Amino acid sequence: MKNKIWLILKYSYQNKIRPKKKKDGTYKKSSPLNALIAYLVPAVIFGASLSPILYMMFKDLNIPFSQFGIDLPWSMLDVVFSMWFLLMGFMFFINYSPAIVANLYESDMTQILLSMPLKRSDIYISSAIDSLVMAGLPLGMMIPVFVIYAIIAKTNIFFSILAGLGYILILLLISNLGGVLFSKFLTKTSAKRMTMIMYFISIFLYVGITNIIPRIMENASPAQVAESLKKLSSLLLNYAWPHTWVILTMKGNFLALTMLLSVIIILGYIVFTISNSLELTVSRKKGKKKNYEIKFKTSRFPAIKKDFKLLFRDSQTFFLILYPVFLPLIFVFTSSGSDVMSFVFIMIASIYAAMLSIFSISYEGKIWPMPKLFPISMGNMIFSKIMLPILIFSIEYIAIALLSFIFGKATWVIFVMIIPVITLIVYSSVLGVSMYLKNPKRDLSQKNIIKGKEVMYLEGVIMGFSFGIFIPGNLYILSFENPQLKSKFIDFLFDSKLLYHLVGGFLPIFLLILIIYLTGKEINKVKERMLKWE
Amino acid sequence: MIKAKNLVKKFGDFIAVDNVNLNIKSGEIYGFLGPNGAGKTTTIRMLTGTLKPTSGEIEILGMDMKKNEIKIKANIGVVPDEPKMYENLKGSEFIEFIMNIYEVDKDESKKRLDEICEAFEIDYLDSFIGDYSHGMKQKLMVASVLMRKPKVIFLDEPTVGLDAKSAKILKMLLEKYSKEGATIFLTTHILEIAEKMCDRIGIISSGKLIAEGTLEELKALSKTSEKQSLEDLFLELTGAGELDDIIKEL
Ligand SMILES: Nc1ncnc2c1ncn2[C@@H]1O[C@H](COP(=O)(O)OP(=O)(O)O)[C@@H](O)[C@H]1O
Ligand SMILES: [Mg+2]
Repeated sequence: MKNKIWLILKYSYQNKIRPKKKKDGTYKKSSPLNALIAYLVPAVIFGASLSPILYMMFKDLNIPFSQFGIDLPWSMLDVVFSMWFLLMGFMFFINYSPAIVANLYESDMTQILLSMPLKRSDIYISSAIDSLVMAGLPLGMMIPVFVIYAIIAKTNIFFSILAGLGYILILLLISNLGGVLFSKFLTKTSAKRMTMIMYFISIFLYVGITNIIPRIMENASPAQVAESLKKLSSLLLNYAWPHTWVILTMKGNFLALTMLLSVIIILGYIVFTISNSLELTVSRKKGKKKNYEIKFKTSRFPAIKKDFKLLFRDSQTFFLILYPVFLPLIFVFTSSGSDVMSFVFIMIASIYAAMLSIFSISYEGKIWPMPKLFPISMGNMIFSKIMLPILIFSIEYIAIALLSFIFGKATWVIFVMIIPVITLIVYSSVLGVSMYLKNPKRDLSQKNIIKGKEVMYLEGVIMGFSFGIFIPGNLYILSFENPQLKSKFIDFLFDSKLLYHLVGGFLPIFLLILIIYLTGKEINKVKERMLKWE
Repeated sequence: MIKAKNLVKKFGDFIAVDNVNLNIKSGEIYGFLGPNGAGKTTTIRMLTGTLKPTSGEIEILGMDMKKNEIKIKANIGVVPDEPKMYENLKGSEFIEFIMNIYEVDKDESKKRLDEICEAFEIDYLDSFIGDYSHGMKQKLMVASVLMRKPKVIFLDEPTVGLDAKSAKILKMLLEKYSKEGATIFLTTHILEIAEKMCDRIGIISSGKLIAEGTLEELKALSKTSEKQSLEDLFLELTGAGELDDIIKEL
């Protein structure tokens, strides 16, 4: 059984990565590891940057409840982290579970595999492993959260590792249980749609939950705090939650460990049994409307309207669209540094603008050569691909800037930054399309349309520009009104006033002009390359 | 209506279409017949402006492809060999997109669409294209083209993926539209389809147009080459010598 799963996975990965032909005609071997790493890198980076923040925020919270006069075995830390565990677990579930279904039905292989002498559970399990990359981000976040908790709570290493593995296993199994159940009644498209709605929910939860605890602590008497903590722990640290067993196991509780293990075994058995009786064929749901009831609307920009719909319906791009709003929003509502917002936003949005334009153009690639039949010029078609990410992210930035100005503590600087933000987004969006068109014949059956090398190039160039413009630019402008900051900034630049003006004032402007020039060059490349796409 | 002069397409050193000349008149149903890999799709892609010829000229509806590409595209209808459509749109949204991008009269094409949907039993416009089967997509594609009532219609292996009933309906629809003045160019690798559906047939093999004419003309040709039937002629013209060897081997 194990061998067959391994075989399916091996070929699935080989299929994902089409080997490149070298000049001498032989094929370059590329390993499935590259694909896996490309998926995990953002998660690990995200997790790594999260850890110090978490540590700083919560390092003094290891206060047992007994200090508040509550007779429960928990500490403040447990409450805070139970919330995190719950959140991560939930995010893991909602990312992973629908992904299994979508992957199972999306891949043409499933039908072929079904005709082979394989057990259904093997096909299912290989698809489940294959989909795991989709849950990379929550997993990447979970690990640092776990480690930070263990460090602050000073738990036993052996039990911590055991508990950590147990938690991941149990989440895997719960998600798979969700997966087998979903795959019984979801269609392919509704599975995708479901992923999208789930993202939404998780974002609201995230913003909501991360705000609960600071609120409780802020303005309350000790008695009230104790009361709230009691209520909160009965909710968050309820014995029904798997993460409660995990926390207890980390503290060396054998009963919790036994509980964890037996639930894993039972769930494993159930998932395996159900997966063997799956249909694994796409169920087709009929639309609700009869044909004659359908009204066709006139639109002046049908291509843009269609691109818009496609971007918002693809769970992957939908995520790209929402993500840049979600982190800055947390900054706006939870922290003092609202002026950092523009930097946080542009770091994410500038790269996602390129990704979005690439995805948008890949929708045409998927149905190629159909788009060439439409009576619109390639130029118009591609213009829509470049414009949409620019529109989306510009509107997002302006909205967040207004929000953080009104509700947060942002200053007018955030509005000055509109100019470089939009310039960078325009460049990024054009760069994405240009990159795609350089080699328009791509394997579009996989999620990773752009190659690892291309991603690195994109990230390198765009992050370089973001750093070069936003950090010195922000500091320079802020230093006008803040003499203390100014002297610190000058100090940092070897006590040179000239360097202060050069780095703070001249460098960002020079980079901006350079970007505008490069954008023009990339546009010319796009014009040239789009004619060669046939 | 459809004219091609010395049409050539090379992929690197490989010549996929070799000096093909075509002249198809208004109202004609022309069948482009040839075995797999003969160059049918390549030819149709050049005629419809999705592939640039290496050399040669194309004229559709009296317009030069090099100068009036967009205008030609607005006036022709194409059913490609694979029905590829945006998976995250509903059938109805795809139809709406087509109506808008071709700027057709909504009421008139809606009326025609309803007729076609009725005939093809398309009752799934309200669901997502991603959930369709191959045949369902093919039928939607045909409907989205025919509802516009284009003056010239290209179909690349249109019956592949259709069930017998739908194929029959397609045949009847095409005959009706050609009577109303539409020019139709279809490719197939099946002799029977060309025989049954087309007024005139061109046979292509290894990129070369090797015979052309009405069914009668081609039959006459097959008599002179001492072959009994059109099928034998088709097989001979497209390299049946090898076939004989293969059969012997068996
Ligand atoms: N983009 C391409 N690059 C290289 N060769 C191609 C390309 N498209 C088609 N060919 C080759 O041209 C020949 C004709 O293909 P095609 O026109 O698709 O044949 P068919 O008559 O079956 O439709 C085939 O040998 C095919 O391999
Ligand atoms: Mg073909």
